[in-house]
Amino acid sequence: MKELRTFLSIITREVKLNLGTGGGALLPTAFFAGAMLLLPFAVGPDRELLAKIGGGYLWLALALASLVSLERLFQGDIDDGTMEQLSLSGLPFSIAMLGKILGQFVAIILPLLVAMPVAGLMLNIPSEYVMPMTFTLFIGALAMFLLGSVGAALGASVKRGGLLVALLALPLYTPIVIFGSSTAGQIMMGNGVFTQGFFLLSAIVLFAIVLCPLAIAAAIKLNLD
Amino acid sequence: MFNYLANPERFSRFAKWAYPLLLVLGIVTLAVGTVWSLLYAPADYQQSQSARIMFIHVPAAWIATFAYATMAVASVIFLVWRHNLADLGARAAAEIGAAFTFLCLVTGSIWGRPTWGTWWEWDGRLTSVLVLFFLYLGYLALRSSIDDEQKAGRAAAILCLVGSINIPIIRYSVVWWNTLHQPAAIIRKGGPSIHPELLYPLLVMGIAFMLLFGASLIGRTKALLMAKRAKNLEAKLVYSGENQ
Repeated sequence: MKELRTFLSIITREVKLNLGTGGGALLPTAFFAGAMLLLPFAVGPDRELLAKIGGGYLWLALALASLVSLERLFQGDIDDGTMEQLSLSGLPFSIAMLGKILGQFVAIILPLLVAMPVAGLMLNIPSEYVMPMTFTLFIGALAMFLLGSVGAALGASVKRGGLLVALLALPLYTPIVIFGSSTAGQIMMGNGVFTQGFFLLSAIVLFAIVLCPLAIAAAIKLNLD
Repeated sequence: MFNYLANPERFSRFAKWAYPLLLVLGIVTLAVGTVWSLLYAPADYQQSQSARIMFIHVPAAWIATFAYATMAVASVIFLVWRHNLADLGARAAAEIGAAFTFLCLVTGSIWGRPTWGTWWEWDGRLTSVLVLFFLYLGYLALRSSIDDEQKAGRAAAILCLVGSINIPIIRYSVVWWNTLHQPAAIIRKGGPSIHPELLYPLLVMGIAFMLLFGASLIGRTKALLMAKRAKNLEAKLVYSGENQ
C-alpha cells in the first residue's frame, strides 16, 4: 500500500509542477497549434486536399509536439537532487520513473486533448470522425511519450541535448506514426477506430509501458553518482 | 572467447595476425567476386546490366544489419561484464555499420533510377534501411556528445539495446505500411528464387564484405584502443609534469 501511495504521489507532484506557474504544460499544445497554422500556408487552403492529408498531418504535428516537452523531462530533477530522492524512495527506480512520465503525460495531454479536435475540424475532417481521431491520437501520444522519454533520459547526460533527443526519438516513432495514420485513414473511410492499425498501436503502448521504464531507469542512473 | 579477448594485451596480440589475415583474404575475395559478378555473371533479362549493382547493394545491406547485431552483442557484454574493449568494439561496429548502411542506400538509389525510374522509391526494404541509418546516426551522435567516456559508452549501449528491440517492430511496420500504399507491381529484388548463376557470385561478394567488415572491426577497435592509451599516457605525463 505504501508503495502505491508513493507512486501516486510521484504522479500528482509531476502533474502539479507541470500545471503550475512556469511548468510549461501548454508548450506542446502551442507548438501543435503553430504547426497546424502553417499547414494551409504550405499546401494551400484547398479544403479537399486538407481533409485528405489532415489525418496524417495531425500525427506528424503530434510527433513533433511531443518532442517539445521531452528535453526538460528529467534535467531539472537531476540537477536539484530530486532523482536521488526518488532512487531512495523504496520504489523500484523504474517504477518511480514510470510515475514521473505518466504524471508529465497527464499534464501535457489535457490541453492537447482540447486542441486536437479543434485542429481536426479546421483541417476539414468531418465532425463525426473528429472524436475517434482524437482518441487514436491520445493512445499514440502515450506511445510517443514513453519511447521519447528513453531518448530524453539518454540525452539527460548531455548539456543542451534538445536536438539530440529529436534525433534519438524520431526514428523510434516510425511504427507509431505508421499505425496511427493508417487508423486515421480507416476512420476517414468510415471503418471506425478498431482496425488492425489501432490494435498494433495499442500493442506498442503495452510493450512500451513495460520496457521503456527499465531503459529510462538505467539511463538516468548514469547521472546519479 | 569473449573473456579471452577482453584482455587488451591478448586482443592486441590477436589483432596483430587477425587483422592482416582478414584484410588480405577480404581483398582477394572481393577481387574474385567483382570480376565474376561484373564480367561473367549473366545480365538480368529484364534489367540487363543495371542489375549488377545488386552485387554491391545486397551484401552492403547484409553488413548493415549484421553490424547492428554485432553492436548489440558488444553492448550487452559491456553492460554486463564491463569489458571496456567491448565498448570500443561497439563503437567501431557502429562507425563501420553506418558506412555500409550509407553505401546500401546510395546503391539502392542509383539502382532505383533505371529500374523504377526514380532516385528514391519508398520501398519497404529501402525505407527500413533508411530508419536503420538514422539509428546509427543517433548512436554516434549520442556517443560523441558525452564527454565522460565511460558514461558515453553505457548510454550508447542502452540506446543500442532499445534500438535492437525496436528494429524488428520498425521493419514489420514499414513492410506493413508499404503493402498498404504500394501496388505490388514493383520488381522484386533478389529473393530466394534467384538463379544460381547470380547466387554464387553474390555469395562470394557477401563473404568478401564479411571478411572486410571483420578486418575493419578489428583494425578500428585496435586503433581506438591505441588512441585511448595515448590519451591516458598524455594525461599521466601532464600530471607528473605538474608534480615536479
